Amino acid sequence: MEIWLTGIGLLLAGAGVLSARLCCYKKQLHHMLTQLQMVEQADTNLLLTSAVRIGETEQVISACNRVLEQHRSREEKLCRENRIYRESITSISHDIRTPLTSAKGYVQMLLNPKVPEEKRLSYTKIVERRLDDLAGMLDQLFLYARIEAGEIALQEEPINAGNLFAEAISLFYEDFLEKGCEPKVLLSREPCHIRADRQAFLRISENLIKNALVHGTGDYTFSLSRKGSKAALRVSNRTDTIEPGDIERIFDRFYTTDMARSRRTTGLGLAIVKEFTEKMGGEARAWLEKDLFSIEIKFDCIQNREEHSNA
Amino acid sequence: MLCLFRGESYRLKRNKSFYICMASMAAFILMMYGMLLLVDSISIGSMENGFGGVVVSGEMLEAGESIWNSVGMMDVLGQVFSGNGFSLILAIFVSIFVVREYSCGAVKNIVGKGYSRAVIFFTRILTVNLAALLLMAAGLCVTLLCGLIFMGKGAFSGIFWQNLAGYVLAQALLSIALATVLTAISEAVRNLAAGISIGIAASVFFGLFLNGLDLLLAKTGFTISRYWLVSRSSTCPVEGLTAGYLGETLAVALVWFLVAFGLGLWHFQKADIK
Amino acid sequence: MEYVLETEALTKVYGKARVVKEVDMHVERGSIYGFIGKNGAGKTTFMRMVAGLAAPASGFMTLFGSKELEKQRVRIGTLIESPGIYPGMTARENLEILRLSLGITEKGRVEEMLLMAGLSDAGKKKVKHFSMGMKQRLGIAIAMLRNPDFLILDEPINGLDPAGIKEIRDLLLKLNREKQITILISSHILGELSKIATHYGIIREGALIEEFEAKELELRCRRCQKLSVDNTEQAARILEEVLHIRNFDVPKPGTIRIFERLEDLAETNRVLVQNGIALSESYLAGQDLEGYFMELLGNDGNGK
Repeated sequence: MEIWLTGIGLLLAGAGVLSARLCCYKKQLHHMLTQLQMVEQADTNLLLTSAVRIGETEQVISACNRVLEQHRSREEKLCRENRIYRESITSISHDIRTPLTSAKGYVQMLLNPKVPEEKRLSYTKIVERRLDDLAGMLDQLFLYARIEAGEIALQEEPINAGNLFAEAISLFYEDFLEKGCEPKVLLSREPCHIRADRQAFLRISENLIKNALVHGTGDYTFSLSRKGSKAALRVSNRTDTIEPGDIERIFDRFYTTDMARSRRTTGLGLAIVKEFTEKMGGEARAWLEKDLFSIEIKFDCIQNREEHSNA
Repeated sequence: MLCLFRGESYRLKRNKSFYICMASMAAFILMMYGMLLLVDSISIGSMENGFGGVVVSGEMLEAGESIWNSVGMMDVLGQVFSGNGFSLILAIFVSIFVVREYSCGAVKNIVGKGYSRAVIFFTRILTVNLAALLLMAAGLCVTLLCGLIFMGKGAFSGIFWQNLAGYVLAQALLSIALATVLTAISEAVRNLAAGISIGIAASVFFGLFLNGLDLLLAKTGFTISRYWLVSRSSTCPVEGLTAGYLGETLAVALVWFLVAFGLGLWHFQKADIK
Repeated sequence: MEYVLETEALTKVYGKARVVKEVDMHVERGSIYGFIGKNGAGKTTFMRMVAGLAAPASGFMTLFGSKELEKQRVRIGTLIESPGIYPGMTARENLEILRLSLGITEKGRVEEMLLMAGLSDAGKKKVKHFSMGMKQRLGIAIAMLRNPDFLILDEPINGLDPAGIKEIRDLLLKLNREKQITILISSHILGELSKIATHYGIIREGALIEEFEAKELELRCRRCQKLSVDNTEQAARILEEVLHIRNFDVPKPGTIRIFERLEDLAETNRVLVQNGIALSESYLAGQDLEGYFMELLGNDGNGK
């Protein structure tokens, strides 16, 4: 008799436990449903919470929350990018307007018959310079737009990094001398050959050097050396505008630490450098030591000058 | 709702006063055993009468028997659950636990954050009841352990377990109801000193008062103190517990529980939180 | 215009005293609303009603455009009066209790909040040994635990040193900008509030006397010529007809503020007097915020 009683007792207990569990699941699901409805209807930061700890439901909730957070950060990013985009349009138009206005000013003066002959030539030269600046800016802008759109097809071939770098430096050497500060150039004696697109590499070098020229305040150092199996191209200069907090955004498009935008840049130079470098399999890195700012680009070296493909 | 309970039990776990109360229970019981030991030593003559302030009656001395023959674990338990033991400790603990939420303002974090006030109050009651049962269990363990040490395995007879089961059940029901009453009181006053005072009054003095009333009403044959939790707890028979008595205990406990819960809930829902 | 909080004639009565008198407040989404008033003006009581800690005697309230207050309150984080913390436990334990109670499944949330509040190094220190600033920061961490959309902070920078105040200010700005969290913040320290508030609400003896945007505040405080006259209407007419001055206002009868022609005060004075106006005061004024608020809060000089 007792066995029956115990048996029935156990059965009832078992049934009780099962129905309790069922109730818990139901409650949890209802709780999740109400919350999901709220999240769906309102633009909120809320994440889901649990009402009862049962089974794997809490893991489900955590997973839902991760998805929600992903979604929200994407939206946040989009908002931010939209804002940056709008701001960039504004700043680009401002940047373009500056040399144009200046040029126009001088053209107005040239139209004035009272201006002496000697001045006319120098004014014309100034107008030419302004238009060159403008062309340079637009050139950067269009290049960047094309890179973003994926329209640039890079043709990688073996190139002598040292030679190309030297070529780029020589383009700007005069400008450095004019500024009164001769850069230190350290090119590795061993030849560094890398696989890269010639034009892109030139552009990288030019942008880096130009960046130093325009924003740096002195102690310019350009070096190309071999570090293990990689070729490292480094440009460093003293700066008075870059802070440690700027480093992580230095490669962002349109990012410039020159708040007054007086130095005629679009903030795209380094962004282009990064894009090209990474598209060709290299690494770009920037750092700040007190007031010495350095950027380093690394590419893998190839052994021979001519690499025969094993077709 | 169960998550709220998890939070509260976490708080209970980390609550120093909970462990102190448990230790007090243990100390109380040990003290009782200590006293019994002393009485025992005196009655079998190994110690002088009057030692430690314990005076044994002449009859017991003459009998010269060990006290362990007449006093069992159940009797010790009976002493523990009298008005000056368990209920006192419970009153102190409940006040501290409940009032702390208000004095440090932590209650602000839970109210108005999605849980209805009813749910919050219910969880509070649940946690306090859990604590009360745990305290009781602790006391029980200490009693049984000491009983094993002092009275030997012989004390754990079949009938002992029967008595124990009945007694523990009755006390558990009463403790739950008492804990609820104390919670409601502490919740209403929201002040530590007041809470502890009223709690002590409820567990010690109210019983005396009712005893007095009993005398007044002696002619009608109606003993009112049977229906007060602490009085019932003190007078609960340690052996020969009848089903009828248990049934009555259940009814009394239930009524007090519902009344306290209802009033406490009503107050909690109505009152502003400072 | 999306309002996170809208109250209509919200009133609170304690005994015979009407502590909050028919307040109509409107807090816009995404704003930082500076709630200003003297001690005992009813700020904390009002905030308690919004947070659901006290029941209003009369009036209505909508949260996030809905009347289902209990449901919407999960989206609010509050720090009212003092932070609700257990002194005998560490910061981590305090947050953990709340995390478990609210059913937050992510165990890392506690660390996140401690990091945000700058308390990661508090370690095993019990809260009773915390400085005031640390307690306030813990209070903010507690308020932020559930990822709210609306923060109600009652004097959060109370008792903080300047560095602490700056930290909180930066934190609040960051939360407002990045997570679009609306903030209702009450404070005595007007200078601090003016740095971050986008809207202001002034409460005086339980009644909300003014509610305006920060931009408007600048307008109200700008430089002007302040005149005390005997006949305001007459003076106004003369200003318009004779001096052709349109840009002026009358803050209270007997006082006129002129916002143009500030170079030639004497001329204005002369014309008014010539036309029969008794001019008792005429001076160049421009208030700072503090002065403006002091005026609004009552001239007994006791307001902070």
